[in-house]
Amino acid sequence: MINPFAFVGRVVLDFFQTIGSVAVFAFMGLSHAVRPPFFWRNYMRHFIEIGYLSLPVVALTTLFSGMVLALQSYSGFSRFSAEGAVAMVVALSITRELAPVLAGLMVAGRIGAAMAAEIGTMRVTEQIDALEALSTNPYSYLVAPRLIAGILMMPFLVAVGDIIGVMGGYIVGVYKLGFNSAAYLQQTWDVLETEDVVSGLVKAAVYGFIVTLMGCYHGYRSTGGAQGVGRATTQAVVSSAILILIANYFVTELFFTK
Amino acid sequence: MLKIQGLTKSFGDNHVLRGIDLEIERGDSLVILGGSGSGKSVTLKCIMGFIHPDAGTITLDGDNLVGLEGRARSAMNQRVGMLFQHAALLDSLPVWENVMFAPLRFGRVSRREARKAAVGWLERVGLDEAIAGILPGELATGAQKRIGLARAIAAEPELLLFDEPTTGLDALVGRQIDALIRSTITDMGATAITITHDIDSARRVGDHVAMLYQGQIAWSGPAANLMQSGDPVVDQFVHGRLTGPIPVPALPEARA
Ligand SMILES: Nc1ncnc2c1ncn2[C@@H]1O[C@H](COP(=O)(O)OP(=O)(O)OP(=O)(O)O)[C@@H](O)[C@H]1O
Ligand SMILES: [Mg+2]
Repeated sequence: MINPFAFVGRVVLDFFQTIGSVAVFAFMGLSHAVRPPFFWRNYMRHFIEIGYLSLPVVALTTLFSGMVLALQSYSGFSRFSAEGAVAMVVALSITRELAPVLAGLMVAGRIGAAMAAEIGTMRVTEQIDALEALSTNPYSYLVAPRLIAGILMMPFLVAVGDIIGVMGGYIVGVYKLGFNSAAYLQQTWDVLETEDVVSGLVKAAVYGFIVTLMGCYHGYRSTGGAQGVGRATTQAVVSSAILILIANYFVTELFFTK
Repeated sequence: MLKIQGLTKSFGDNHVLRGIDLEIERGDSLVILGGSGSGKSVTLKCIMGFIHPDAGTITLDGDNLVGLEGRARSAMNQRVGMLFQHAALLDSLPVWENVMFAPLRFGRVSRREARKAAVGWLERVGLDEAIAGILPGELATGAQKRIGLARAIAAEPELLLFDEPTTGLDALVGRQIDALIRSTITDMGATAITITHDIDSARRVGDHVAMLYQGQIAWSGPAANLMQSGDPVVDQFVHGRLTGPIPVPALPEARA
């Protein structure tokens, strides 16, 4: 017989235990980012991995999202003759929501999974023990560079995504829907406020932290050979995606409720 | 001198170590023999601090090794080098950076010097300098073990731990590795603990031998006495007999 109270109690306890161990892990990672030794080559590697090598995926997804937004909003707004709002919808949706969330999810699939797999493999093949045997703290060597690269490079990716997404809207607006080029750009410029872009960049930094934290955490704790590494990879991607969508609400609320 | 007293470790109901006592003089080479799963690797991991023992003390020249954290642990790990059972080379770094990891890490050499020095260490373990730039994942197990050995000795520690240095290698390579370990110990004046299943290898590498059985040291003595220990457990183990105090699970086709 399963006692329902015991079951609920167990689930709640497990939940808080997980939150606790993730928090401790994050604290360890970040605290080693501000105290020596600094493994600059590892920082460089992950800056490039996230900020440069993820550019194509982010550019493609934001470009097509901007294009779709222009089409959709045009067909919607033309029902009550408000076609002029297309530039506004594209600019606001891209900078506030779509660029950060899409980039976050793409990077979760690309980077979070790779980090969990790499660190997980290092764990099960005792490479992490070997690091310690060589007097090297794995938090300094593995975790800190990844977390910092995620926090700093995601806003950069999203800034690029913002520009490309707006460009996607512009291309469809001007070449397909027949808007005046200068007027479209002017509308975009007029409607955008600093807050729109900044909130998107703050979201990006938060998502960068979430993705790299989940990748490192699940990889670091993986056990039991190839199967364990596979499980860690899946958990890293799924938990990143869920946390991104939850965090999205709270950061939005922080910026846009008065 | 490395001194281990009353070392105890259980994983749940699995009582792996039940009070290990060992003393190793400086410059001495100790071989630990024992069946698979007898806790040989766990013993080394307790010395390295990867596993926290439930009870017992470990000291190196009087300095405690148990329960160290942070800087104290990092400082102690500089005094101890380890060759892992499966080499555990960092597969994101080329061979030469693996070998020179510790010297590079502590800024004792520039990257240019390290690359040159790595070639020297590789030659010393019988490897060609051509592999210096390769990633370790592309190499055979034998080569990986040698690189692991080069990495452990390049850090120039006081105490060297070798976890099954010759397992999985052919007899010729195995003999070479044994000779290498022996010469490293003599040249560097380091203390060494080597784990093995291989009786011949144990006699070549060890000054002393200890037999780990049921979580305790069943016998220890000079390597020269290994074959005539008079201990029934050691006797059965070194002669590979199916009958004796060590239970051997009966397989359907097993013949004595
Ligand atoms: N981290 C761990 N968690 C749980 N059990 C462990 C752990 N490490 C080792 N064990 C258990 O401890 C026992 C001894 O393991 P150990 O790796 O020391 O064996 P060994 O003597 O090195 O054997 P082998 O010759 O096969 O390498 C085994 O039963 C193993 O399952
Ligand atoms: Mg072992």
